[in-house]
Amino acid sequence: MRTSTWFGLALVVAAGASGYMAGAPDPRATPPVVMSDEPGDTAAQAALAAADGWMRTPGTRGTLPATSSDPLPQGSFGTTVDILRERTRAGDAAAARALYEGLRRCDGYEPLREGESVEERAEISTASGFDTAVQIADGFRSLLQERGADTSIVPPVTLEGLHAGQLDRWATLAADCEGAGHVPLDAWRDAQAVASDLDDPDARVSYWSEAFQRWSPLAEMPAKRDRALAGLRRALAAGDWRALAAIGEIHEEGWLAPPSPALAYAYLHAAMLGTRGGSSAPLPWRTGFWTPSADADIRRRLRRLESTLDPATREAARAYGEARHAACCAQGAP
Amino acid sequence: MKAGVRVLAWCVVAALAFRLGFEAGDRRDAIVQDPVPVAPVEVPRPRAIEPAPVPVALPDKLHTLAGREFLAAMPTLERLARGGRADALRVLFQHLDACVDFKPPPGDAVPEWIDVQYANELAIEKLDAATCERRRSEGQSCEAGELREQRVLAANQRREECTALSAAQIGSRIAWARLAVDRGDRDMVVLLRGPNTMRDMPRTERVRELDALVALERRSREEMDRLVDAGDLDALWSSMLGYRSGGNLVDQDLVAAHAAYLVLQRAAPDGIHGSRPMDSTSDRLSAAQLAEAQARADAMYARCCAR
Repeated sequence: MRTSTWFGLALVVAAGASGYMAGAPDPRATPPVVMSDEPGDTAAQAALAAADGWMRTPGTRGTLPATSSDPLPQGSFGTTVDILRERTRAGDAAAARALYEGLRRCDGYEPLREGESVEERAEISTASGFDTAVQIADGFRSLLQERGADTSIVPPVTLEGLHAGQLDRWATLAADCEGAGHVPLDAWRDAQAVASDLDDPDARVSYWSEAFQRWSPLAEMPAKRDRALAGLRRALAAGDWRALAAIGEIHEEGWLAPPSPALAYAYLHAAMLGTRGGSSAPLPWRTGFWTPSADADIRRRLRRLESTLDPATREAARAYGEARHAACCAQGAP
Repeated sequence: MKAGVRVLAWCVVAALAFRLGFEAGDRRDAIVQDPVPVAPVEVPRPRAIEPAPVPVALPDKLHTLAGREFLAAMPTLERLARGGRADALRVLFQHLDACVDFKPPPGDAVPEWIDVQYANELAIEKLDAATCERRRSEGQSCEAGELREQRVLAANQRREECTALSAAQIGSRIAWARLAVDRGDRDMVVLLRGPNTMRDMPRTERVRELDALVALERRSREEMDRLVDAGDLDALWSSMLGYRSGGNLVDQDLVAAHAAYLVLQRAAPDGIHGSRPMDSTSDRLSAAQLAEAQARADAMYARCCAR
């Protein structure tokens, strides 16, 4: 064979080999993120979409509820509760929200008896709560001690300190809630459901948490579930990224299908894109002592889920989440 | 000129080789990608542990199966259950239901755990002679050491079962219960509508399986009504207790519980199995509710027991 033929063959082999190397993935490189407007571009994403009940949710943008033209009544909850109830019955979403928030604040408040003062109420609750407060503080200290942390951050419980706290608490509650004793103050969940039905943005993304987590008789559950899901669907249709965070939690905890870390990761990632890294308000369904910003909250959950997913699944979930965010909320958060 | 054409031809062939090589490498990317593990959305159909179950000789009394024996017999039990054998369905349901929300004690701590859990029961020396006699007649021990051994054995067996069963298998108990009810298994109906059944069901599962539970509640209620109408007072007794306590499947209904009490009081004034029904509901009902319970009881008595 002539030299030029050998050279030509070598060129072909070298070209084929370099083509193969160029086409093959670099094992050190992060797999490329597949961006798409609609999920289903890859087999992995198609599998996620098939398992995701929320794909049946309309992806079109809805409209945010109209804000009531009448301003809310001024004054404490106790003096405005009847007006708020009346306006809620007339379909005013803002009033419905003020009603459920007021009921929630006043849940557990017992109106002062005739002649009873706030000081007397604070003394009674200080006396009955002192032992419990000491036990809680001791519990925190031993927990910190076990972890080798500084126990001095738990302040000592003193009668004077506790009394001052109780005085402040009862004074605030009495100023807000006195006068509302004629309505069932523990019915804030029902009021939240009504506010959700009226499309209050916070209520419609939050009601699922109460409807699912709080035990109810079986006969009441289907209506509560359907109401909660309808609220979330409307929130999604209106482009509220917090609904994506809610769906992420629903997938993580397994409320509607067995827990799916991949789908949870996808939706939380979608929500993370919605926060644009700067949502300082907590997610509205988060209650209790620890209510971090939505941003920190979602990041923490994402980190926890990340360790349970292999890299390929994580990438597919991330791409799926981007598609979900694009379908819901890319045009701007409410 | 001729040499130039040859060089050009080699270049075209090299370009084609590069393209083919690139596509081959690119396909490798698609091949090595791991599939995404996605949890099944549908309620899993009841299935065996092994794909091809080897029939296991079962004891006559299936409820004596426990621990590894139960696990080995499970495929056979499932086959029998699918075929409609009522005792296999019940045994499967009860074992799976006992593993819901199971939190095992640490392996070497079982005896200590038993001492704490069953402290009252193990204080056996406090039992009177009549209670001991009854226990012995039921095959139970009346000696503290022996009883403790039995409890430790049972706890170990339960741990063996519950740590081996998958979440999908435990979740399938609702489907087994439904199959038993649809086949008209009286004992399963009584079990389901009595107190404490499915009491450990997690909230997430209760929401996730809501439609199946609502359907199971409705079907079991229809079957219970049929049993009561046919005069099954044992079933009515269990139903009364279920309505009193309420649970994950049967909602608490004090009016229904009181109606059942009124019927039992009238139809079995001497009690059932030596026990008389006790009125623990009337003081919690309003006058209107008491009247409603009485009306329901009259209608129920006319259907079940007047003849």
